[in-house]
Amino acid sequence: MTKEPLKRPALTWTNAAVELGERTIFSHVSLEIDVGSFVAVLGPNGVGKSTLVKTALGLLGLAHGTVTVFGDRPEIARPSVGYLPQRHHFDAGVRISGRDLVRLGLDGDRWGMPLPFATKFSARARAAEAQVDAVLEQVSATAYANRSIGECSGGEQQRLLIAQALVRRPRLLILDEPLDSLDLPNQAAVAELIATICKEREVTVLLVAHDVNPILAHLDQVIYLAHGGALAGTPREVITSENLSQLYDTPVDVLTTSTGRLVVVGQPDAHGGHGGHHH
Amino acid sequence: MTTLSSLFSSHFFLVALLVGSLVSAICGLVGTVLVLRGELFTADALSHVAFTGALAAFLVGLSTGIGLVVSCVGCAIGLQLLGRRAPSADSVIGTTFAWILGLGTLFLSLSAALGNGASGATSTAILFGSLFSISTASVTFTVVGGLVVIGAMVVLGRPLIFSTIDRPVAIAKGVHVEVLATMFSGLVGLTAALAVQSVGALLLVGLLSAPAGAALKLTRSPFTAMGLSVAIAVGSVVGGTVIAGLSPFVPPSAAITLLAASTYGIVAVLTSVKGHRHGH
Repeated sequence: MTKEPLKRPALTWTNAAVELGERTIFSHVSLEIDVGSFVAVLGPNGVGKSTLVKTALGLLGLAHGTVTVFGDRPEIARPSVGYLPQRHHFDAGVRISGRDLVRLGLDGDRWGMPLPFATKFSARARAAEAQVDAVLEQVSATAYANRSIGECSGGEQQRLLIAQALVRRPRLLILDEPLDSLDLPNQAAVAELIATICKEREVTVLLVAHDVNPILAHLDQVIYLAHGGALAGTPREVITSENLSQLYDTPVDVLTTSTGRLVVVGQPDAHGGHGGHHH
Repeated sequence: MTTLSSLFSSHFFLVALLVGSLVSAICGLVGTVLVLRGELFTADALSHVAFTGALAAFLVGLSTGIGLVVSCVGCAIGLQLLGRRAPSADSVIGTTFAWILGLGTLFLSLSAALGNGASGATSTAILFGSLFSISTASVTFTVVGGLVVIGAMVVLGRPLIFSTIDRPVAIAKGVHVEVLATMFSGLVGLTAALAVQSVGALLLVGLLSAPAGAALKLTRSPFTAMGLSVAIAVGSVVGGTVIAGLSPFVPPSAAITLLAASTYGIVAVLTSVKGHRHGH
């Protein structure tokens, strides 16, 4: 896919370093992400993938270097960013409907309280409801949006959370392991949905994953974090047996299927690696 | 024999109704958020601290109202800040509150030993409330405090619910969740102080949990739940006060708790029957 030369990249890190306490998580990271591209952040567990995206959200400061979002500091760009945090799901007892959760993504940070029957007399309330309806439709979650979020399945919760991240029509979507804890058909369906949003709405997507296979076909760029630094490029450039074996410190094979798709085999923590994964 | 019409023409009864409604309204409002945050234990802790704080104030000759506000607001905010550092300090909290309650009984016997005859009545009023014998100063204090809590909850409501239900996303949207949590703790403390003065320390937890619990079973919207919870709490207090006013032997606290608890019970049974029918 060819892209117009753009004035400003969506995201840049320049010589960025993060230190937590005495420990350096990563350093000398310089990256650039084009507007409208679908980018995955990959790498072994505990290498700082979530940390990297948190610097783009302004939730973590850099020890050195700079990070920009649409040319601004992350705190300033915040209104144009939608975020789905890691390991974000709701217990069965959580009493809020999916629709209300999505609505909180739209105006939950505003002071005051929603008035009862607001849609009857306020045009703004009607517009907000219409925006929620539209985004629920977009992620195909309308059918279960009135159910309690805690009663929804993992795949349904993930769609509602993507709707919540999308409801303010962000230009950048940051998703931290959105496919985690989903079964294979749901992984493929949610990956497809994210790719569609990226291409049709020109939303830049930065997605953290520990298994590249479900999203590989959709990616414009990959960022591999390992050993304190980063390796970035198109999937074909970066995803090679040699690179991955070196990054994971174990033999990893990259195969090309008969239809020309890449498949990564032997990556240590790609499947069932849900335990002992803390940041 | 007391009739309804003579009841509603009695000044004491109308004051009790006003104070009771206001206190139950803020308990219903604050209680919904407490239940959603899973912080009801704070209310239990506050009922212990309230007893000691009020008696400490009484011992040194201050108004019990001041003792209640200082101890409850201080304790609620203190617990909030402590919980942030050590979220699972259960045994420390348990020990501390047992010690604080012990301190309260010490203050009680000290003021009795100092020849203060009213100490027994004061401790009874703190434990069981004094809705029918509330002083003019306390009424003013409750009205002003109650309006402060309602006003603050209306302003903080939406970001507070957002940070309660969906903390990581709220943080990423720039909501100051810690500041909100501390402010909310202050409101919980103030609510406890006002409620203890009128309905008593033993009723506090009931008024914070039963209406909110019932309301949250009836709706999936936290904001609707707040409204329903206020309605159930005010209904229980008005109903309980009328029953107590008509009956020569039922105290208001008993009638109010009974109404609030049975509302919760009925709602719990009805929603579980409905849930089973829908196959959940």
